[in-house]
Amino acid sequence: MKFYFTLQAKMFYRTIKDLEIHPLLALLAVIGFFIGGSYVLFLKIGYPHYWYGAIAISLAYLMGGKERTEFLKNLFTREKFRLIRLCENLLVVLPFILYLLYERFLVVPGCVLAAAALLSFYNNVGQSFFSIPTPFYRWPFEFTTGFRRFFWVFVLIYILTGAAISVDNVNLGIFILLLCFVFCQYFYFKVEPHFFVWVHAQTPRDFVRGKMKVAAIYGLIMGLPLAVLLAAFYPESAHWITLALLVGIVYCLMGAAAKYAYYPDELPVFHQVIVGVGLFVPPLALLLIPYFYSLSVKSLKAYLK
Amino acid sequence: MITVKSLSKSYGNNRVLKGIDLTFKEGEIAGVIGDNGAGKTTLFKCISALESFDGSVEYDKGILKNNIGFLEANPYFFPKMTGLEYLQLMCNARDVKLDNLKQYNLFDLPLEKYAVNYSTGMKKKLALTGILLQKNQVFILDEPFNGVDIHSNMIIEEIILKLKEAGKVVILSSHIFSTLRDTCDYLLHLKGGMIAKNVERADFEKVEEEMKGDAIGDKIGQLIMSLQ
Repeated sequence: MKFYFTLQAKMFYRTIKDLEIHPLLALLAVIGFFIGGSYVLFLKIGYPHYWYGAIAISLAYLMGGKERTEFLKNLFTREKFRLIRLCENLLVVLPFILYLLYERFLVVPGCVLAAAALLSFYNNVGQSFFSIPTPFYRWPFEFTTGFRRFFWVFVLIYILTGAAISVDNVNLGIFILLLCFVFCQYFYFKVEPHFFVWVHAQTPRDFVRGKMKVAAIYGLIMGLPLAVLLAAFYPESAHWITLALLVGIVYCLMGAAAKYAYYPDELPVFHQVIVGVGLFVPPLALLLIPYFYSLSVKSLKAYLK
Repeated sequence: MITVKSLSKSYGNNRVLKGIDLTFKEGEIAGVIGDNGAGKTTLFKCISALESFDGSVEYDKGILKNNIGFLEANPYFFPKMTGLEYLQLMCNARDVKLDNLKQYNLFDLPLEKYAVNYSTGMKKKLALTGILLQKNQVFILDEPFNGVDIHSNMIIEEIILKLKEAGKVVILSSHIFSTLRDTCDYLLHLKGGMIAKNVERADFEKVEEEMKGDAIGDKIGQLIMSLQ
């Protein structure tokens, strides 16, 4: 068991090293981000301890991925497997429990601890008993798979838009609309095995343009109902809502254009940061589209004729 | 016709393929045999332009890459993608427009379910259906019979023979000799990175015996004796 956890640490170390970040710096950044994020959450949101507890429990839940846990089941005896799963879940929620205790909450950390322990017995996360329907059947795969992976996020986005309307806050509504597009462009973050690029009988230009076209159309399908809803309640802000919709489409175009910029590798960290900046500064995102497009076309020349 | 000239491929210092010359004709089924690690998959990937290589692969009917249906030994499927969406993706990739893809469900696969949850054999059948729908001219099938049930094995054999009838180029590999005997017109024995033999149908049985001898020899007898 000790070997298993040492191996996890080693794998984490290698991942960080592959990202060309100094491990100590990465560790400090993670700790800093966690403490900073927790501080902001407790400062800005109502009933933060409940939200915080829910996040911790969700993370413990996600540890029970079927594929991963089945591998562990095959590897270890029943007792060791149970112990490993328990330790994993407790390690995941530990920082949250410590922060909750620091904030002088006692009941919620207790509940989180108990839930994490109980969830160590559930090992079927990701097991799909039915297929989630999507409107993205015609042009797979980024939106079809992405929507299914994050459908709960979109449910949340729609609920939050309703909440923004109920508290009469159009700015919050517009922010959530943009958030919806940020998630959509995230579907283009991970590159596929090169068989799925190779299989296309297209030139690199046509291939990337096709991806951008689908990203824009499907992004619009995701964002348009929210925009219409907001515009119906706030017709005086229709121009801002339209602008947000256009910015959202620019996000999707940027995501699709950037996807293959370093194919078969994913975007290096530096470029990911640039994409991040583009999300905050939409005119920059607009400028980045042709830049990433030309990089992607160049990278794909080895795979498409 | 596909003409392979002086095809070589190395991974670092490991030279996997050493100057291979081959010709594949329409309406013929070529079987590639060889031990694990002999370079069969590498050869297939090089012909398909999925891997870079030295030498040349020429096709007299356009861009070869855009006319190949490549069945991988272990096809990859995206998580959360249904079988039907996979088929749609494969059709889109070659700009093939077909209505109601479900009617082409040759193997009665549960197309509404996520393909990643299919069994090994079902995955292979889905991938095969995908390349058939693409209307390819050349088919490269890497271990098409692996993990597939007997009934589907028979269907796959029948498909391969129909592809031959339709004048397609078919290249396949298999470790199940009987399937090669039933389908292939000739066998290419890949050994040490080169084509050691080009075997015609009449000599298939002889090769099978030779391979058995090479692979097994007296090793099993020795092993059993040592365990007693």
